[in-house]
Amino acid sequence: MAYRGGYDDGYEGFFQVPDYVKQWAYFFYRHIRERNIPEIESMYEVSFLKLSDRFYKAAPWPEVKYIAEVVDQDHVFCLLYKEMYFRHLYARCQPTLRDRCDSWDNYCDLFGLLLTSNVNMQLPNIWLWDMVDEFLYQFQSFCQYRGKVQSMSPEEIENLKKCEVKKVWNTIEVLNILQALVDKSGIVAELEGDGGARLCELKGYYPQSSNVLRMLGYFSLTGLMRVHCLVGDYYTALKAVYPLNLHERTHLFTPCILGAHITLFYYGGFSYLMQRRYLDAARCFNAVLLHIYRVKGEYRSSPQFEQILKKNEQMYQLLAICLALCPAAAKSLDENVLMQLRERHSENMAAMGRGDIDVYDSLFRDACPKFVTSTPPAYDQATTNTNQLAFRAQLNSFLLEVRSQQTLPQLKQYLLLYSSISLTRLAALMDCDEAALRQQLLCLKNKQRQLKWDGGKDMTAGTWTVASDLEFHIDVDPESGSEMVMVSDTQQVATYAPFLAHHISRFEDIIRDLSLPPPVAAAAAAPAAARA
Amino acid sequence: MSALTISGADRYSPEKLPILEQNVDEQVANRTWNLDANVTLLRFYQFSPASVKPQIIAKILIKAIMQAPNQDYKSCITLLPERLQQADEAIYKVVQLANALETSRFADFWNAANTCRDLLATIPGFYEAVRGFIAHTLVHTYGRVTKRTLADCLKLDGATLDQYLSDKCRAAGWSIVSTPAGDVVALPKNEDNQSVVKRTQELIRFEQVAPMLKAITVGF
Repeated sequence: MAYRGGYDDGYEGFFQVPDYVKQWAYFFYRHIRERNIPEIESMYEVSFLKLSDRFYKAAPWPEVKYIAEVVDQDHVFCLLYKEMYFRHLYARCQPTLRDRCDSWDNYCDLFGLLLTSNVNMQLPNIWLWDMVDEFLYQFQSFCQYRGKVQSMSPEEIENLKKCEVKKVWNTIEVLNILQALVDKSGIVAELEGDGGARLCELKGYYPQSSNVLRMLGYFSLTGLMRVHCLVGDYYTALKAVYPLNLHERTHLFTPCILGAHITLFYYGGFSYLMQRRYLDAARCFNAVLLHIYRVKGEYRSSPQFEQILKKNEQMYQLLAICLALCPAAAKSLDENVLMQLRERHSENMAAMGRGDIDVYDSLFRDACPKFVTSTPPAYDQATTNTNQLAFRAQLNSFLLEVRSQQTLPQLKQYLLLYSSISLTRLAALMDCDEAALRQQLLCLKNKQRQLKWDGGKDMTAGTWTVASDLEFHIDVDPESGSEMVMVSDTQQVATYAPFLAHHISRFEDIIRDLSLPPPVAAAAAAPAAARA
Repeated sequence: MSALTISGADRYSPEKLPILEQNVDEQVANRTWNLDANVTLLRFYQFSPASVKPQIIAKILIKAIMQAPNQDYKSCITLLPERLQQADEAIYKVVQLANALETSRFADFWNAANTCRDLLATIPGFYEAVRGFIAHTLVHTYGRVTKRTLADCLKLDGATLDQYLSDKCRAAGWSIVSTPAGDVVALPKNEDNQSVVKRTQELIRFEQVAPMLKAITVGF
């Protein structure tokens, strides 16, 4: 639109910038210099959006050189402004290759500056989280973009090759930046020391020092986990987020920033799911879905509300998959979460229970992260788009696991009907031969055993537990030599105590509220009584 | 034989590539396993396909299968691009082996193992580890198992089978029972292969009742 052409005459461009924007930049700069956190936060969240909607609905903000005069050409502010400029560009317009490269350079400069020099400013934590989040979002976007070879012109391909040489948005570079932020901030040692208590208390704003590097380090832990998930490395994803622990959440700072909290648990739960640890995955999803359920109301007017809802929906889909593959996980879920799950996915879960692969496929497609094909395509030989390769690899890996369990639900149904049945009879019922049946029983037993986390800082550790409500074993009758499947009788005693206790306390609350004197009526009644 | 520990920035420095490759050979020779190092190596291979060495990948995958029932194989295979899984013959065969083992298709597994005997022979301890896993699965599923089934699953016959059984009887608590229908092996009792009637009892904890006590005792 108006400013994209690039004004050669900087003076004229300066005049085109509306006054409001100039004022915003001036005050924003002043507040940052004065470390006035509430003001910075308000200008960052509220004013920036208002001005974007008013002047730059579908166009990028003015380039940094037109703002620079208002802010004394401050180098750090210009880098921060450019970060917001590119974020707005990605959100509202279509970034070109030039934009992507410039954004990468800006991130390198910004993070480089924060890592090497001792900045003394304080920035709102939400901004620091958005920086890391946007950095990885642009990384994913670039990998998607460079894989679409079919629709690229030859000059674009030439430019992309040059970018590759300069390691623009190279996966290892991205990982190294995140790791450098973690190391330089010393966040691991700090969290190991007191478990994050001081961080939570002071909300990261330590009085005499800057919070920037520390919080960037904290959020980069989540960033590392995310990148590892995107390339298919689930084991290291769970290891990388040490010393944060998804199961011991006492001093976790992320609940203050909903985006960070959701990201952490989404990728954590997904990593567990791909490693066939459905009990742990269900616990992770349960924790975060309950949290969202409780705090949803506060974020209704926030610009991130749609994102939150989308992730919420995705996590319900993943939870449905977990429960379909491991029904015993339902025991650890909260009743609110279970209720919501049933509302949204009851037909899907029934279909998955019957072994319908298409339902698994479509749920996984919607709910999985946007995997990243970590290497650029071979531009000279590539004739098809490569951006979906990583996604298809993970999807196929997941479907392989599902297929290996496809016939098991039917077997379980039969076993539930009997307390003991001979192998030959069961094989006749299931319409398969004895060898295949033996193999299926072994498979069922194998799949029921999972690793479950049970303490300690390492989230990848665990003990083997049997995750099933159906216990069976095969025995050979000594006299006749026939093999019998014996199903154990597990009597479930219904637990009424928690349910009754919960409802009794709620009822008490209602009665207490009812018996309070109505405040307004009392105040009105008094002058009315005095007048009468 | 020092254990290679990978943490922090080590994970992302490509200079470590030769050390990691060497480490794989050490693991094969010394019958050890280091998941962190192997996963790091596979990650590097994903990031720079030009430096991929398929025979090392095959070795890592075979060693991962030996870790069953741990899901280490799963953690490794999600890092490999599909093209690689299908292009290289050795890797393709190992993937088939792993799939058969995961779904307990032991007959298919032994058939597939026959076709790549040379490859498997280069990894010491493979057959013992796999037989250990199969026995582990059997112990948790069967209370008593016919000798025929055992022989099919473990792919042992005649003298070797008898030798294996007598070792297990001595060391792991197996025992052989003769029945009119043939020999039956009684496997050690554990919680999975017994008929256990579980009654889950309801325990009412004090914290659940405490909020109610105040309401109940009003008026006393």
